[in-house]
Amino acid sequence: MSKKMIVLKSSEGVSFVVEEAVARQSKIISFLVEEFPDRELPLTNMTSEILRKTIEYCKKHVVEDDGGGDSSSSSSGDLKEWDVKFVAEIDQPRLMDLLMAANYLDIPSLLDVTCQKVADTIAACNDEKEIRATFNIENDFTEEEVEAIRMENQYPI
Amino acid sequence: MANKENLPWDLIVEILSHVPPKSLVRFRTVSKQWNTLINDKAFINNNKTTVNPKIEVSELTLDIPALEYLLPRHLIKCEGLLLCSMGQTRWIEPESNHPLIKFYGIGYDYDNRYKTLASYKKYWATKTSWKTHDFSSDAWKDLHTMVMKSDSSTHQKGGSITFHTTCGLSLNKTWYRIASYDKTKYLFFLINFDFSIQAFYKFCDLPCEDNHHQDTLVIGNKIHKKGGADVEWMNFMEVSAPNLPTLVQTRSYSQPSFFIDDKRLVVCSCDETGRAWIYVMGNNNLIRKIKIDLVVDPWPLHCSFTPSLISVPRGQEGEAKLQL
Repeated sequence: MSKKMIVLKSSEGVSFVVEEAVARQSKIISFLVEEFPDRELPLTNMTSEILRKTIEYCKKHVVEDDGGGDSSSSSSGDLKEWDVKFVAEIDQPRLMDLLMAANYLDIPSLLDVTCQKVADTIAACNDEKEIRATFNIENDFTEEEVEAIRMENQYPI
Repeated sequence: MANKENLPWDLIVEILSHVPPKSLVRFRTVSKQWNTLINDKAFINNNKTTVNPKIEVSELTLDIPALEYLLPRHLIKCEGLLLCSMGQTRWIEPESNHPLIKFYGIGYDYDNRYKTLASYKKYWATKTSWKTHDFSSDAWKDLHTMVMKSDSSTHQKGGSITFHTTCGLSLNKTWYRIASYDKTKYLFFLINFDFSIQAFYKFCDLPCEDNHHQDTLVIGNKIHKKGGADVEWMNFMEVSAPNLPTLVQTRSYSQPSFFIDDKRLVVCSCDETGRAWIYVMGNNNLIRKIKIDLVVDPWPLHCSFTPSLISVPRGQEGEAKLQL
């Protein structure tokens, strides 16, 4: 049985030929494939690098339902381990790009994994200055306001 | 490692919902927008770290030679120790004259010596007798009768006592359990056993009189000091039956086990077919329902248990080294 393929095009114009089942994990692509069958889908806001990463993730997570009941190629535990490794190997800026790609393409599980990785980084931050630097956030508090909030935080740590 | 473009706010919200609330509190001073978000109850209530608990199922194996085939009947816990009535890393040898022994609770006394509370019945006896076992000396001690030291007026009225729920709770040198007098069937109270004095007391009445047929489960909070007179009850959560699966009780040990984490109640229970489920509840809502697929056997024995660094008390070869 031949598998249906579709073409995704990155912002640099590089074409990626992907099995439809793999790409359909994106709810947006799933919708587009139905609306515009047999057409190349341009993803103008995704670089080839990020698109390649996204496809790599989708390939790993595709549910093969044509192979009968014994298609449990990877158990949920293995898959989780793979996910952790997958995001661990990506540096922070690319992780953010991947997170945005997951959000744009509407791939809930990839969004979850990337958010969790960024969340872990946040939880490991020592103070608000580190957070501001990571997310490029401007401090709009006065010294007094910061002090007032600190006083409210009566949580023993 | 700043990004060229900033993340949209809704993605930051999504990310922050994956950070445990306790860590978030530190970051209220990042910006006004962050402060408003972290103070928002709806945001905290939808936190992924509490809504999507990570559940690990592990099997407890009894790796005692020649005893692998025995199945534990009860799980009893105190602090970080878990006692199964069929053995653990430390084997408690019952005395030969009390064959029908049943373990009820584990706890420690003022000298931090761990003890277990057990009942036994001689073959010919009609009455149940009580004993404690001291881990450090490996000695059994008889309790003369199950006399309650206070509240004698009620005691005379009530007569013999029935325990309810499948397990008690060991807390601060005392073991608690819900009980009722046989004569006043649905008037529940808390009975406690003091491991230092080795005696039973009536602790206090439960605020839910005759609650047997009502559809709410009310969990009290905070037991202070000694004596039950100044116990304060607070309405922690009401869970109405339509939101809950049938908490079946087909076998004595299949009662739900639970723990409370912040504002959430996490219950493990079996359905009618004996499959184990975990229910996460908050604000009278069933937030999540998770089937434990890893457990194949029906009616698994379960309890909520907090691991800690307490080592299993050693026997006679030396004083037990316990740090609490």
